[in-house]
Amino acid sequence: MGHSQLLLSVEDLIIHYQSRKSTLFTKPEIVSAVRGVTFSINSGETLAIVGESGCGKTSIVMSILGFVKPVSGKIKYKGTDIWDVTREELRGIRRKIQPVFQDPHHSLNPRMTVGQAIEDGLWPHQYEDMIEKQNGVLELLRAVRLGKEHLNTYPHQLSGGQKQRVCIARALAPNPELLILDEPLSSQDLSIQATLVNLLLDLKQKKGLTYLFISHDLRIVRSIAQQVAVMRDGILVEVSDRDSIFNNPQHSYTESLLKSSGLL
Amino acid sequence: MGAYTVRRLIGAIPILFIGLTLTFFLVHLVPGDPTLRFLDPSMGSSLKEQISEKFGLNEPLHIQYISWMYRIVGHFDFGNSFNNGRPASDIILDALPPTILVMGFALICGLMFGMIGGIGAAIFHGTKFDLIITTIMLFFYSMPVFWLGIMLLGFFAVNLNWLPASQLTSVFHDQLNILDRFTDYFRHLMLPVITLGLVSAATFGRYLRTSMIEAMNSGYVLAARARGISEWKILVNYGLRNALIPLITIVGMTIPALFSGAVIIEVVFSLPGMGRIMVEAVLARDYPVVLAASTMAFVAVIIGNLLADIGYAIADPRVRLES
Amino acid sequence: MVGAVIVLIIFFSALGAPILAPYDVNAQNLTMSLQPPSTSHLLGTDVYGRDLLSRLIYGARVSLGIGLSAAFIATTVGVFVGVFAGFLGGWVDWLLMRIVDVLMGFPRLVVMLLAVGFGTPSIWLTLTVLGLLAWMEVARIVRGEVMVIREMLYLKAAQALGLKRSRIIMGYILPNVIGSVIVSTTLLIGTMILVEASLSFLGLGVQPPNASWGTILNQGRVDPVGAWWISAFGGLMIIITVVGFNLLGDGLRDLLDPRSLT
Repeated sequence: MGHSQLLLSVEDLIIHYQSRKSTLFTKPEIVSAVRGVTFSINSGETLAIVGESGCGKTSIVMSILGFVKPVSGKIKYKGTDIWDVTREELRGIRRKIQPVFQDPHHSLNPRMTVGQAIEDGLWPHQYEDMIEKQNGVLELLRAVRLGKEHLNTYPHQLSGGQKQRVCIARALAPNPELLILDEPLSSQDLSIQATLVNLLLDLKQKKGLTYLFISHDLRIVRSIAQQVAVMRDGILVEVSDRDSIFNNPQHSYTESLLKSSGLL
Repeated sequence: MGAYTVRRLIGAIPILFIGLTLTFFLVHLVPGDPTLRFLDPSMGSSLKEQISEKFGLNEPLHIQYISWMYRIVGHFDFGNSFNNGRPASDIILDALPPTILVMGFALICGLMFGMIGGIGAAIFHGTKFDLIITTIMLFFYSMPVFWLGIMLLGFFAVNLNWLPASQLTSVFHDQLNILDRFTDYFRHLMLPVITLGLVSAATFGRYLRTSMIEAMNSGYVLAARARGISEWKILVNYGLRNALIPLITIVGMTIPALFSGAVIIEVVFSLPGMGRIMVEAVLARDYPVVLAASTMAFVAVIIGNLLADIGYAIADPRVRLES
Repeated sequence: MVGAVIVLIIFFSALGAPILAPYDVNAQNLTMSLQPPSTSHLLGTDVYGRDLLSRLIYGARVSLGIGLSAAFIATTVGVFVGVFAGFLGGWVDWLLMRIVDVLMGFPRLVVMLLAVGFGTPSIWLTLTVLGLLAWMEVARIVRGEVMVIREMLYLKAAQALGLKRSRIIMGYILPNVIGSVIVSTTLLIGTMILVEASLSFLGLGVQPPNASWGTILNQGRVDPVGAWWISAFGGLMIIITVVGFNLLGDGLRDLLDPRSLT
């Protein structure tokens, strides 16, 4: 580590949504969700984007994952624009950027066992045989502190915290470099939030991961992020390192966020 | 309202166009020499040539398609019947009124029985009465229409001899005064209408029961009960209103099925409508009449659907604002 | 599950027709023509003196066979079109759904008449036409579900894993629509049996000497009052079977309701 390499850079990103389909008779209604956002993440770092719900955080995530095409701006992964590659290349890049979503229940295919879900992440890998593949799955389960007994369970048989661990294990399966954590703890109880934060910190260190952490909870952000970007109404109002954000906020919105969560 | 109607009318044009296209290709892509399908193979080849010539069957398919479309859209010309040489369009227009009468009255009859059955079952949801009504509706829903027709015909027309078994009018119809003529029509239409009406009542009733029970278990009804509104008012204002408006859509969706039902009912009761004309034409391989009948059936159904959509828009103002 | 019981009974009596049928299906005995139900012929005989019960049991093979195969064809086409339209979206979806609209707007019996009328009526034509003209409802249901699944997070996660489209469809989409597909197929079997009966009743479906319930009803039409047993028992057979499939479908719907899964 040490020498930090630029992993992901987002340049002047603008994303619009059509809230209504255009027909012959009606004009489409356009809502701008992200209005010119620029940030970058170095390898091994954790950048948190903080903001209230509806400020455009999730739109950025969906765009980085290649689901929502931006109106303009660039998303570069290791210098390659992910919206300017072939399907095949995009598949390769996608495997290096893995998401963990807020709602683990809907993030898991209800018809697949935990083992099958994780195995799909390993699937295109070169595994010699079934046993080796099975070992790979078990290793991932152990990494998120689940056990062999969860291999053949279905999502609805697991608790919320366990489901989120499965989601993390699946995200780790293709050996990603960047994990996009979109409010991964918001649907969990407080006690589980703490253990999941520890798990994430631990994994990051062991596997040398980079995190893009999306949250509205400044307390968790403080415990996990090195860089913090504060977002409001589709733009970043302040981007800085953790200590300056929490100790010396420059923007009034950052200040009010800190106040409302009792950190100032 | 006017703008909505115009929009729906414009929307129906591509549907009509695709429908006509599908009809054409369905008929023309069935394997085999089309002339042979209508002729005894033993007939001379010169006659075959004549028919091919007459119907443009020697032309390439896309030319045939264009000229067929042109003749229908431009001149309402489907060609002449092989059987009696009359224009197929005339034959169909003559046969349309009985079919529309049967369908229209059956729809009214079906809605009436369906509402009584469906709403009744929903009000007494969970009781023996509900179970009986639901079972009866399931039976009618699972019944071949023509079979019910035969049973009613056998019982009321033949066994009891209360009602006529066939045709739209009696032999002496022309000699009757206006009132008696009306009664005569009524007596002839009674059995076919009730047959078709009972079967469609099952569809409407089953739908109404489900959607009313759903509405009665919804959050806003719970809230209304909590406010102490009487159960009867809740039933009328919440349950019924929420179930009846979408019923218009269901009616629109059952129009094709209703038409199919009318076709077979006309055969059972020997009514001179579209259905009987079409079945006879198919059996006699009267190509122009079959095509004309199916095209007209399709147009009739589209118009029916359009009316249902407009009715829905009148009943539910939200539709006009959306889309 | 009354529906399942009815369906199983009909199914096994169709399978065991040679054992269960008291008489040879096609054995004519003109001296016994149009006999009312009696101890020797439980449900009476038809014009040719053939045992009605035996004919109804054998008819189950044809009617059920056509119903099942037509529903199977319709489901296959419907699932294919539905997944295709729902997953790809865009103009493919638009075009396919307009075709579905048009075909659904067409009175089924009229299209059947059109198709059968221009070919030679036979069992094979009947079931193919039946199947190919009944897939629209399945396609609509499947498309609707696929559109919902397409927006689910687990599908996004699967796409992020870089899985191939085929894997996403087979592993993530199909298993999640299969429940409603089974329900609509079951209900469709009943509908198919009814439409086949109508077509054969008109003399345009299954052709004699093959007997489906529809053809038997066609023969009963000659004298619905004098020989009431032919129409009555033939119709009852159809009703019981269709009621069975409808009950089974409704039961399966409650059982497979996605809401009950969570």
